[in-house]
Amino acid sequence: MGADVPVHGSAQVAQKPLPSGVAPRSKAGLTWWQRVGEPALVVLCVIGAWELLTRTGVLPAKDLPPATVIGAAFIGDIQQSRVWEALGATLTSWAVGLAGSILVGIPAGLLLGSSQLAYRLFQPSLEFVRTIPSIAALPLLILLLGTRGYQLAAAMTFLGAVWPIMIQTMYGVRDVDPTTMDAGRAYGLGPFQLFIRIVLPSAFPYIATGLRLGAVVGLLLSVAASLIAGGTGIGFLIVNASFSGVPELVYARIVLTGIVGLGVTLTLVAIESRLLFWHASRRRTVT
Amino acid sequence: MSERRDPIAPAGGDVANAPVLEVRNLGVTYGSGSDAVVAIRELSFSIAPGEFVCIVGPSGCGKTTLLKSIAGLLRPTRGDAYVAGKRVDGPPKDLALVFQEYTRSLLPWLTVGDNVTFPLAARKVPKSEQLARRKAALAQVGLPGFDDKYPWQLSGGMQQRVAIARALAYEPAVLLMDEPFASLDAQSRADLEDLVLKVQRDTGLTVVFVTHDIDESVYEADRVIVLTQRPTAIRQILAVDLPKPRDQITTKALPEFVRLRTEVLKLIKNEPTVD
Repeated sequence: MGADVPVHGSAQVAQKPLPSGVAPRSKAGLTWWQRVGEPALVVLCVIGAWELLTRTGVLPAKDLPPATVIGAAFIGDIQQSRVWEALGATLTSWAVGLAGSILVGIPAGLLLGSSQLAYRLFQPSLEFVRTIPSIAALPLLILLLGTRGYQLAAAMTFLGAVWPIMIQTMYGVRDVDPTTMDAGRAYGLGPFQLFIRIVLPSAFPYIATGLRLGAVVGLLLSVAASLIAGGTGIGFLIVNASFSGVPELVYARIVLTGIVGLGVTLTLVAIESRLLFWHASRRRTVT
Repeated sequence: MSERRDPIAPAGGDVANAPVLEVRNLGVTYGSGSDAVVAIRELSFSIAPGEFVCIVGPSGCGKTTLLKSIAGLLRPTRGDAYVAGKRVDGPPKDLALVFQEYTRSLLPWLTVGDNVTFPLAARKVPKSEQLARRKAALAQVGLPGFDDKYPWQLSGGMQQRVAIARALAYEPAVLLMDEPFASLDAQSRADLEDLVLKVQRDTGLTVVFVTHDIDESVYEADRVIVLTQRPTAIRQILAVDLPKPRDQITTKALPEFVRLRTEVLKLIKNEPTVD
């Protein structure tokens, strides 16, 4: 399935449609310190090194402000309402775009996965379209939607998220275990019952992966939209800080965006873990 | 072939002596033209209610193809199968199937209890009856109270017990088992062989048991159907008159058991039998 690995645009989202690629391995067996403490320590070391290198002048402090300066800018910035408004605008666009990509991507993926004909007809075009970086659509979308409202970033989110969601769903449906299907058929399940009771739950781990990938790519593109085209999002505030010649604010806002992205990922992983407790990658009790 | 009832089965009323499963001139060819592969040349046999029949044959002899044809998962190229007098045209209501790959035939997102009842739920059997059947079936396979576990929390042998419980709760006329214990360890295997014999004795269910294990086939069966290599036909049908209930130690030590297993082995190896 090498060539079928869903890869989208510049984001290089490569997730093998295999159970092992569905989600991070179960963290069973690791202590809290090993899971959270040690990685956090690494982050602290990097911040410390950054601080040291910029303070001692090894790195130019003018373009690369020391960590403590960025930290101070960060604290100051998040006390202002405007950064929250911008973040709200970005997240609103993202939520709208993501909802749209779910509404389109999942049904389309289900259709492409269940119909051999649909798969044969659309798969080549799909492979082509998904290799075009979504960002390339930006100039066209600016003309169509303008830069003022939430629509541009929402459309960008949609373009980024719809492919991973659609493609993962498609592979999820195509990868349903034939023995499981035979078991369902042998016990008299009709096509609808098979779909509801076997195909959907089997494909769910793949769909969840698609959603997680789509959500993150969508967020990147939602930020990128306002970064390039302006408007009300957090991307515009990053550019704005740059134009105002306040590099520490640029970094502070990038960090904030990163934290939001991390929050989105962690939330989705947590939801996935709860819903996919039965999946091989997450089981804790195997005797 | 028409959809009417099997002419051999008596119409209504007394069906005690009518075969509960009949395979008539059944053949399966995969592909067509010069690429055609004849998997099953021609098979005809019938199985009476309450019989325990094992089907053995050399590996790759189309046992699974035969089983899928009977289970309505594969349309045979020639001939037909009849279950409870009805021609098989899609999965028959009176037939339950137990697969070799229990991990793949059980649904990991459902509890043991829900795995047992999902075919009943799909059939819209009333909830109270589902629960009653599930309780009885899980007790029969020695897993009472395991309802809320998940299959993957259980050992292989226990998972296959769940699959058997699912089949029993379905209340079929025929229980079809496709090399059900082939992937189990020796101990679980022996336990489950005895379990299936006991369940069959208690319920009077008709069991058709496909296996490649010759000892297993002789130990379990009332009759053993020995198949030939591809293109598959019947090599011979052997009656097994070993005393019941059977026992892993005493039955397998009987001279008759040894004679039968040797005979089946020779049939499979395609050597003439010494009579």
